[in-house]
Amino acid sequence: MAISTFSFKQRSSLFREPAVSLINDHLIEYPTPSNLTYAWSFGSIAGICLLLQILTGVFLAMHYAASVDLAFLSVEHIIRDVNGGWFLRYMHANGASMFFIVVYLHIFRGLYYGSYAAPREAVWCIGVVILLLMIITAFIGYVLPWGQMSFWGATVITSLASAIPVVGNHVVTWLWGGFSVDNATLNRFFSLHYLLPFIIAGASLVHLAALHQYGSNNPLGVVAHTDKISFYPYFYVKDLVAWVLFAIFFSFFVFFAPNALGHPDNYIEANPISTPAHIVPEWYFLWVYAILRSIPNKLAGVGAIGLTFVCLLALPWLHDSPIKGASFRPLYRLSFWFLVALVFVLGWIGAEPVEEPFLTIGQLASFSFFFYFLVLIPFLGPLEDELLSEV
Amino acid sequence: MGKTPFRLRMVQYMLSPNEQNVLGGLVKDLPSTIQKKISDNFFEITAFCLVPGFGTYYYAKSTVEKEKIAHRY
Repeated sequence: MAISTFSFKQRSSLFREPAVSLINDHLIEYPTPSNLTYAWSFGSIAGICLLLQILTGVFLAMHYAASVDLAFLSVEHIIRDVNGGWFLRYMHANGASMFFIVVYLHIFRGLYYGSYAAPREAVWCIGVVILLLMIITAFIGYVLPWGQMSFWGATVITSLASAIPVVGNHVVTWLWGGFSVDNATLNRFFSLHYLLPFIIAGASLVHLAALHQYGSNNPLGVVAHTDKISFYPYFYVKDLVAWVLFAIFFSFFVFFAPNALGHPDNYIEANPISTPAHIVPEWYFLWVYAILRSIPNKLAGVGAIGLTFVCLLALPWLHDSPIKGASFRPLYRLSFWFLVALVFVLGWIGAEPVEEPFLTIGQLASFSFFFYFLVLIPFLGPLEDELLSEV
Repeated sequence: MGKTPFRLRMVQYMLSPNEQNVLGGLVKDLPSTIQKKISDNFFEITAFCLVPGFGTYYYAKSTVEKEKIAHRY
C-alpha cells in the first residue's frame, strides 16, 4: 500500500496536519472496545441511510414540482418518465422506512446495554434530538407526493397545534400559511424538507463528537481502556458485513416490494372534500399515534407525545444503577423485553380504528410505556442492588 | 477521542483483513452464536415479549370476532 512507503517521520508529520489528524483520530486510529458486537453497526448504517436520503432527495427535487396542481403528477412523472426515476423515488420512500428501522434498532441497543448512562448523557440527548428532527422531516416529506394520505395526515397532525390554549388556532394558521392545508403549506414543507436533513447531518456530527469524547460503550458496560483496538481495519470490516446485509434487505423492498411499506390511498390525488375512511400515518409513527389517540383530550394527547420525548431525554438521569447493561441486570432485562412488546403493541394499535377493544389496549399500553420510564427505570436499579446484596 | 492512557500501537497496514481471516470466525461460529443467543434469552423473550405481544393480539382478534358473531342479525 502506498502509505506504508512513508517513513515513520514523514508519516508523523503528515498526521499532524489538522484535517488528516482529524480523520486519523476519529475514523482510523480511533480506540474502539474490542468486544463490540454487530449491534454496534446500526450507527454507521444510519449514517449511510442519511447520506442516501440526501443524495436521492437532491435528484428527486430536480424533477419535483411543489405546487398543489402539479405535485402528485410530478411524482408520477418521476416514476414513469424520468430515466431511473422509479429507482430514485423508491430508494427515497423505502429509504425513510429503512432509516427508521435502523434508528429504532440503534435506540433499543442503547437501551439494552445502557449506553445512555453517564458519562454519555450528551450522546443520548443529541440522539433524541436527531430522532425528533427525523420525525419532523419524515412527516413533512410524506406530505410532498400530495396523495390522499399526505393531505389528510398533514391536516390531522398540524391541527393538533390548535389544542394549545389561547394561541392554538393562530399557530395552525401560521403553520398552514393560510386557512387550510394548501399551496403555501406544500411549499413551506418542501423547503423545510430540503433543509432539515442537513441539520440532521450536522447534529449527527455533534452526536459522533460527543461519543468520541468518552469512547463507545461495550456489551459488558464496563470501562476497558486497556482492551481497545484501532477502528481501522477491524471495525471497518465488521461494519462492511453489516452494510452488505442491510443493502440486501433494503434492495428487497426497492426492487420487489416498493409499495409494501406505504399506504395505497397515497396513490389517489389529494382531495380536500373526500376524507379517507381511516387516516393513518406511516408505520414508523404508529406507536406515537397510538399514544396520542389513547387519551380522549386533544391537549392531553399532545402533552403525552411531549412527555414521551421528555422521558427519553431524561433517561440518563432516571437510570439509577451502578451497572449499565442488561447483561448483568436480570430484572432490567425482563422489563426491556416487555418494553419491546409494548412498542410493537402500540404500533399495531395505531393502525387500528378507535374502538373497543383497541382503545382499552392502547390506553393500557400507553400507561405501561410511561410506567416503564418513570417508575421501573428509577426503581429497578436499587431493587436489583437490594436483591443481589442478599445473595 | 476516547481517553486512552497510552498511545495505541501503529496500525498494521500491510495485513489485509483477508490475511487476518477476519470473516472466518463469523461463518464458523454462526450456528453456535445463534444457539447461544436463543438459549440465553429464551425465557425473557418468550415470557415478557412474545406471550404479552401475541396474547394481546389474539385476545383482540377473538373479541372482535365474538362481537361480530353477537351482532350478526
